[in-house]
Amino acid sequence: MNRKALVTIIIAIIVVAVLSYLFIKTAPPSASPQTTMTQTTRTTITTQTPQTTYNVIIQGAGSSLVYPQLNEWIQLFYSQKGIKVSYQSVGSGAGLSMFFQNVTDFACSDPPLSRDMWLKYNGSVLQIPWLAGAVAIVYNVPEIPSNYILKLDGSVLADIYKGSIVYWDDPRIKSLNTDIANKLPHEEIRPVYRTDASGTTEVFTTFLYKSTNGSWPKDLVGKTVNWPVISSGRSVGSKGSEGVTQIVMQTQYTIGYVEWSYAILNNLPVAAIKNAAGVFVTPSNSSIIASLEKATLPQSPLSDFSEDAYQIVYAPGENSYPITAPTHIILWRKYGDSTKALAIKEFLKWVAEEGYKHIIQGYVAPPENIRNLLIGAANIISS
Amino acid sequence: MYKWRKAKDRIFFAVILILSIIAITPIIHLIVVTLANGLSVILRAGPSFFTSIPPTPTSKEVGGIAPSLVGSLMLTALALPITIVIALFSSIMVNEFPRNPLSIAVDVVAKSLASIPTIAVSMVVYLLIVVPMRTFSTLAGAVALTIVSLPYAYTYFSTYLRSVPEIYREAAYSIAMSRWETIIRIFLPIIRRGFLVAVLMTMARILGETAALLFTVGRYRIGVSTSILGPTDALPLLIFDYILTPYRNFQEIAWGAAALLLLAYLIIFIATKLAVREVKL
Repeated sequence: MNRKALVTIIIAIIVVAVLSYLFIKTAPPSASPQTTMTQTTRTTITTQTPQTTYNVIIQGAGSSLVYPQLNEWIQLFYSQKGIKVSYQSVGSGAGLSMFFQNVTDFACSDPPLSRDMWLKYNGSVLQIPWLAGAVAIVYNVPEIPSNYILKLDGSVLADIYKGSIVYWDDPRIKSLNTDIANKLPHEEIRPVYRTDASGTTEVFTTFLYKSTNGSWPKDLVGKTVNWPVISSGRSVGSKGSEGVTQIVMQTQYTIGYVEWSYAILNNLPVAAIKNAAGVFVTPSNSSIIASLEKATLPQSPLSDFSEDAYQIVYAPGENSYPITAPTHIILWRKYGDSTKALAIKEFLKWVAEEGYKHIIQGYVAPPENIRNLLIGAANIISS
Repeated sequence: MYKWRKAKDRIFFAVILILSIIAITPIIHLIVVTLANGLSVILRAGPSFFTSIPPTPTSKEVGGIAPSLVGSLMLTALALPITIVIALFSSIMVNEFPRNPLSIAVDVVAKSLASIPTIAVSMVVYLLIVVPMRTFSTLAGAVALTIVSLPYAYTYFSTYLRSVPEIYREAAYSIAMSRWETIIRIFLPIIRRGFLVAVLMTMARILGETAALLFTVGRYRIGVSTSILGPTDALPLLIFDYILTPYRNFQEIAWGAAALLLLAYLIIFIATKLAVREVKL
């Protein structure tokens, strides 16, 4: 008797669950009447912007690195064009899976699509490295005068994070900074690293790998890294750029890598890094643009971008900042909803023409070749 | 001898006092810091804190939290009644028919729901509602919140129902009341203050839940959304996102929103304390 009742209950629960699932699936995706956009307005879009009220919300998700800049753009774009965009900073990986599950209309990802992913969706997915930032090397050594910029190169940084350079007055740091060689203290270096999976870590370790000709091993390149220095007990792990920033600000003799905007907004000293041409460069608009211009990038948004981050890091050129990181927007070529496709085209064009004039501190508008990629993408997208 | 006993009593009292101060210091510190940081932002922004949208990193104005505030209220308005109705009726059923297999199943499920991490609830609702609907929505958020708060509401209701002495039931039956009348006329009036406490505590739970909303509501912040099938935002999500950015005005908004949530909590908790104190059988 009891078992019979239990079975009935379980069957009832399954039936209700299946029915509600089917109901949700067959229900219209969203209440967006398509009457506002007709065939006539679609033809005029190429000539002039129609003052139509777009009854759609363009939804995007992904990288937390671009969130502040997108926040700025989304409000400006809404006030100028009346189109609503919403963006969630859930992290690059989650953003991509939401995009491929068709929950969002675009994704932002710091790394580009991997070659396998790109081959799988070849021809139906567009990607553009539409914004660039940099990884800043920040430090807290009170003995270094505030008007002096510490100089470091890839091999010294690699040895600091390997644990083989222990003290701030190591001869190799002294030889890079001859002006303040006698001021460097005999104190242990405390390297700070990110404990969470992060594109920042991937860019930084890619730089270590490229700039040391592989003496920083390839299997120590990635979003999370088993840092060799951890075994020395001198290092400190922290979550997020905000966590690393806090530790470097509060603890003396630390060194860490953070998103550039955190270094600017917290007034942390930023080291100059030796680039591929042998020049010491600090992150700045011009030095980041230089490395984007010098890197060889694909010419069409439909191409395979899987190598571009590797190209941009440690790019050739005297002015190039070596730890520059692009971040990508990923879009469909075709959107089922014509209103949505038009709204997205508008957004891409607006970013290329107007948005790049409103770049906030810590980000850099890409050079001309990448703007053309955006315009190109806007022309390719259709409904 | 007497003096020594008195001294021991004093020492013991002092130790207890010190320990209790140590125990409540972090809470007092939290309340003071959040209110000090948050209220100054709210005062500076004035009423626009409740009516305008969040700032951009470069904007000079303080901005506001209107989208998240409306979102949180909508989510609560949707999730709270559903939770209360389900929790009340299931707890009545479990209380009336404790040996029925359905009651046993409900009891086990409700208790195990409480131990599921809320982020997992968020993922499940994302797969079952957000992906098929192809959009984030208030509805998905409300469903996630219902799942998260249901076990708490159920536990409150069943605890209060069980606290009613059996003699009341016997008395009701002896004057020929049916089972249903007994519940409506005797049990519910006796636990009415407990009912209020359960509703308020569930509401607090719903207002403060963050992880369940991560993949469900959509963080729509450029305008106030009143659509149930469209994306919206919630106060805890706004705080979570903005406090982690390096921008001062973002952090200020997060402090303001945190102070507002804390005030709502304090009001709810004081209300529940007042309600509990007057419980008489």
